[in-house]
Amino acid sequence: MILTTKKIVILSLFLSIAIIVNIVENISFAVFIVPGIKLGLTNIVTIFILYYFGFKEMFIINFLRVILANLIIGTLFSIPFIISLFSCLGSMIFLFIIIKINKFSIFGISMIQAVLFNLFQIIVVCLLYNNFVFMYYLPYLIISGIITGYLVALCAKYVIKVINNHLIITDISKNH
Amino acid sequence: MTLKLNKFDIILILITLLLGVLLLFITYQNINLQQDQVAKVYYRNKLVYTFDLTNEKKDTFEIEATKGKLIIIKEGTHVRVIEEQSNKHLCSLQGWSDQSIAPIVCLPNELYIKVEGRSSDDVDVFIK
Repeated sequence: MILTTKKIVILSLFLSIAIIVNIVENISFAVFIVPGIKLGLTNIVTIFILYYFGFKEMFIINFLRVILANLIIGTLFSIPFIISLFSCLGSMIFLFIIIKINKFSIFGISMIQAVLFNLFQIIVVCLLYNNFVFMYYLPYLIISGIITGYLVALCAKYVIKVINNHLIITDISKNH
Repeated sequence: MTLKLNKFDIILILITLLLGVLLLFITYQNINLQQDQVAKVYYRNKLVYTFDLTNEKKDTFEIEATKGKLIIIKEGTHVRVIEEQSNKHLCSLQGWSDQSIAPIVCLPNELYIKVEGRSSDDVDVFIK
């Protein structure tokens, strides 16, 4: 991973966008009743970075986003933070293998990421509370992961299309 | 990585949806149909209160949880959280629960309510 000043600046910019989106999504009222279901709008930034820069950059941005967003809203080292961090790390490991297979489009990657994150969320909660009652939420979280993953990829696709035509980041991205 | 939905994505969607529906079906198959049901309140992994869901008597349980006061009420054969301190108030928004497949979970308060049949270890009848 070659880090030029321009790349650091652009990645920092996207990290700040991811943090803001994360915080706004966290403080907004609950749309869904089943715990753990949310749109995952932050993944638009994640998918965008994966498409333009690659897995390593996406991993760093995701990891820093979880820590910094929780630091800002004052939930660092709380239970939701632990769940979020381990779900993020767990899903990233499996996503790395999926990306290496190189068969899926951004839609597939986004859906896999959403489902894996939800799956790890449940696993971490079950381990934290030493109780498998939370597994009842798994079917809802799998189905919602597919839907939200698709919607996020759709948004990311439009963002990529707009940036392809307008922005200066194309010269430092891996795809150009 | 392409921007267009391809056949692998569609296969992935179908397999995952099928898995989700299958799990949903298995979950509903395993609904606890026992008549003698209780709602157990766990705080920090310890059982702190048990509601008897077999009678119509109203019952209330109050606890000083991680984020503050949390009130659980029981009416008929249902339980719900009516007051709690958290960011999203998910557990009070969830409403009534009377089934094992719908536990009430309040992670910020480290509390959950699990509906289940009476333990099989419980003694029903003594014969002398």
